[in-house]
Parts: sequence; structure tokens; C-alpha cells
Amino acid sequence: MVPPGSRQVLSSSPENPASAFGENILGAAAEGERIRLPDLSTVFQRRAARLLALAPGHDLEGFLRLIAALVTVQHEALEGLPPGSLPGTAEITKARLVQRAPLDPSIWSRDESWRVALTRILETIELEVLPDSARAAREALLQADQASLESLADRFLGGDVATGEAAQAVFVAAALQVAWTRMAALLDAGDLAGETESGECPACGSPAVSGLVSPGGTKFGHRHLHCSLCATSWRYTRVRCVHCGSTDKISFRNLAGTAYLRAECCEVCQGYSKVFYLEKARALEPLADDLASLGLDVLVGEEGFSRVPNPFVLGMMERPEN
Amino acid sequence: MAVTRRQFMKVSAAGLAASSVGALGFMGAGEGLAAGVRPYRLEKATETRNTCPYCAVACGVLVYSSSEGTKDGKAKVIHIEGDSDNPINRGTLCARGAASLGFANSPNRLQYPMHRKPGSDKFERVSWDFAMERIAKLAKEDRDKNFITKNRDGVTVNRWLTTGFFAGSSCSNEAGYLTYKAIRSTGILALEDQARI
Repeated sequence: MVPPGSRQVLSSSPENPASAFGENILGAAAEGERIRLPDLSTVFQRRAARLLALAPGHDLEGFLRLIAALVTVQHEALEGLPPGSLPGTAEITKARLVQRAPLDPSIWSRDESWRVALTRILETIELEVLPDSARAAREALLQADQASLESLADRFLGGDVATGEAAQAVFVAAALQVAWTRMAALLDAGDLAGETESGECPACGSPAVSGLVSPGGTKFGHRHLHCSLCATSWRYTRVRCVHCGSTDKISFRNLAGTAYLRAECCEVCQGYSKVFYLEKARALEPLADDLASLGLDVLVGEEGFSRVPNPFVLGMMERPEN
Repeated sequence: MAVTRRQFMKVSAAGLAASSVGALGFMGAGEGLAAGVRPYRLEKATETRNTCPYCAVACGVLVYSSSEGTKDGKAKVIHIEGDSDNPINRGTLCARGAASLGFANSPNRLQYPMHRKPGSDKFERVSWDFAMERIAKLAKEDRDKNFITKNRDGVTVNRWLTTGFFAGSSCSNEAGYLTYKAIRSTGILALEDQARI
């Protein structure tokens, strides 16, 4: 015997059984985020802590301690910035039309908050870690007028820093990072997701400093590239050249005995980028660990491959022969 | 030397001294770093996208290979994992796929045609030509003997029911099309390949 009404339920199935029972099987598989915007409360603190952890006994100990002090005051400079400006819906739509990132320095005119950050960084940085030439650069920046600071920032962002300005460019880069990271953190990740995957930051169009591969297995195992300017990270296909997009002739180089870091080298464009594996070493920070692993760059450079520089080691590298 | 934050640069010990590292006052640091890293050897490996050989789901895999430590200097597969960027398996593999490293490097893996002669108790290595000719000859014999041109009602059917064909599970669309066209043209009905899903 069948209870009244049940016969119909048993004989006629709903059109889509899965959706009728509150389940949606199609397309519901877990997926990692395409774009991760920076977390202002932790981004610089984690970076500074990682730099301090890497510094002791390192061949570049003094340099790493200096950058750690710089990143520490970057975090402090975030508080007390004047209210800045952000691209609105109109600007974001316009940027998408011209296929640029909304915060691309070539289409987005920065406000004065980066100079406030620069002054704060210069005034509060710990002086003991600064060698004489770094102090001289700091003094020069403190004396500089508004116009020359803006021009220096333009040259850094546009990519035309002279060798004599290399030390000053480090402080300028730090201040611009503060301003851009704050702007990026306030954007909506949904506005940034483009249709095509790019090796350049979806928020500000800057090159990546390195890539992090999250643990695989039950997790996602995707690579996220990390922006050198605004600390946004975005997903990028693994085993694909960050610079030219080629998937042919990719090879990896690592120091014998280290599994957490490999240089992904592309024979097509002779470029490489660093890939860190979180599975092998959980405490990693893309910018800090890039600086601490410059030794790998020396060996990979000797094999003939080139990279896009870290903003804190700008002006340091030989041009490739071409 | 003007450099851009976008342009390709090669890192070197001398370059480090001329960089912002040197400009900030760490002049000798580049040489120290280069000397410190010199004793380390650079290991080279490749990662290649491929398709899992086992079943018709055709999961994406990343195959890691390296010639480090091999006697003949030929690259050897050292690790296989699911391809996270593949939309089908999203980095996961089943137990068989996850163990396919053992399959790739197995000493028992069939690498060339083998033949067990009638009455013999062991397989011997043979050439591809021998294998193809032998298969063709036996297939022809069987087809000539058992081919059905008409059924009992006199309708033309052209069937060859005594032989079946088992094709690959990870064939591309094109390979599936060619398999179907080639094998169906002989009259074989028992055909299994990727094109059935």
C-alpha cells in the first residue's frame, strides 16, 4: 500500500532531481579565489616579521634588516594617511575599455597621500640600521621639494631611475607601495577579474615580484602571483611563462637541496620568475623571500636568464645582451 | 645605467654592488652573496602537462622529469601530480592516477611488441613490422572465414562479429573519429574507444 499522494511522487521525478532537492552538483566544485586583495592590517607586518626572521646570518643581513625597518614603518605610515581618492565605477569601466588595470599608474593620477607616507617613513625609520649612504639619501629626500619628489615618483613608476637615485628610489618605492596597497585593499575584487589571464597585476598593472603555489592535494594547488607595488595577488596558470605567456620549453631550476623555491625559466623569452611552494615551507612572504633568495638569482642569471627586478633592488642588474 | 621596474634584468654579483643594495651602503654584500651561493649546485627539472593514461575521464597531470642522478644523463620521470589548472580534475587524481609514477618507471612496463609463439611458454621481443603483419594476417584469416554479408532475411549487413577492437581511453576527438572510421569499415561491431562517452 502507498500513502495518498505518494504515488505521484514515486512515479514522476522532478525535471532536474539535483536542483529540486536543494542541491546543485554542476559547477559547485570548490575553487580557489582568482584575486586576493591585500589585507592592510597584516600585509606589511607579516613582511617585516618574515624579513627579520630571514636576516640573522644571511649574506645580505644588513640589507634585509634595513628593508625590515622600512617595511615596519610602512605599516605605521598606513595609519594617519589623509583620506585618498579611489577610482569609481566610471573610471573602472573606462580602464576596462582601454584594457588597463584601474590603478595603473599611467592612467590613474595619484593623490598626495604617498608623500605623506614618504615623510612618515623617513621621519620614523630606525636610524641605526641605515648605513651612511642610506642616511644621505634620506636627508636628500627630506630636503627635496614637492615637484622633484613627484618627478622621482614618476620616474620610478614609469621605469626610468638613474643609478645615482637608486638609494632614494627605495624610499620612494616604499611610500608608493603604501599608497597603492591602501587603494588596492579598498577595491572590489569582482571589478578586477578580467577574461584573460595576465602576468601583470589586475589592480595596478605592475609586474609580479614572485609566485606562491598553495598546497595541492585536497586544497587547490594554484599559483598566485604577487604584485610588486600593491600587494594584490592573482591566479596564474602553473608552468606558463609569466612574461610571455608561453607554455613551451619551461624548465625549473633550484638550488640543490631546496624544494620550496624554484626559478621557472622560459627558453622562449629567456625570462624567469620565482615560484615558492607553501607546502614545503609554510612561513613564506613573496617579497621578503624574494629578497632573501637573491643568491638563486645570481646562479640563474649565470645560466643566461633574466627577471623583472624587485622594487627594492632596482637599478642593480646587468642588462641582458640584446 | 637607467633601469625600469618592468624591464628584464640579469642579476649578478657586480650588478648587486651597483644596485640600490650597494647604493644604500652595502657595497660588498653582492660578492658575499655570490660566494655564499657558489658551492650550491643548480638542479634542473621540467614540468610537462599531460593526460592521465588510465581512464576516459582524462584527468590533467603535471609530469616532473629530471636528468639529475641518472646514469645515462637521460631525463627520468620523478613525480606526477594532478594539474590544478585543469578544469576537469582541478588538481586531484584517483588512487591509480596518483600512483602513475610507478607505472611510468616500472621495470615491468611493456615498451615494445612481445610475441609468445604457439606452444612456447615465454614472450620474446619482436619488431613492429612482425607484429603488424602477424595481426593483419590473423585478422584477415578470421574475417575471411566469418564475415557475414547478408542476414537470414537477405538484407545486406556486412558484419564481422568474431573479432573486437579495444582502443585507447585517452584519445582525442580526432583519434576517436579515425578509430571509428577505420574499424567500422572492416565490419567490426564490438568497438570500444573514447568516442563512446
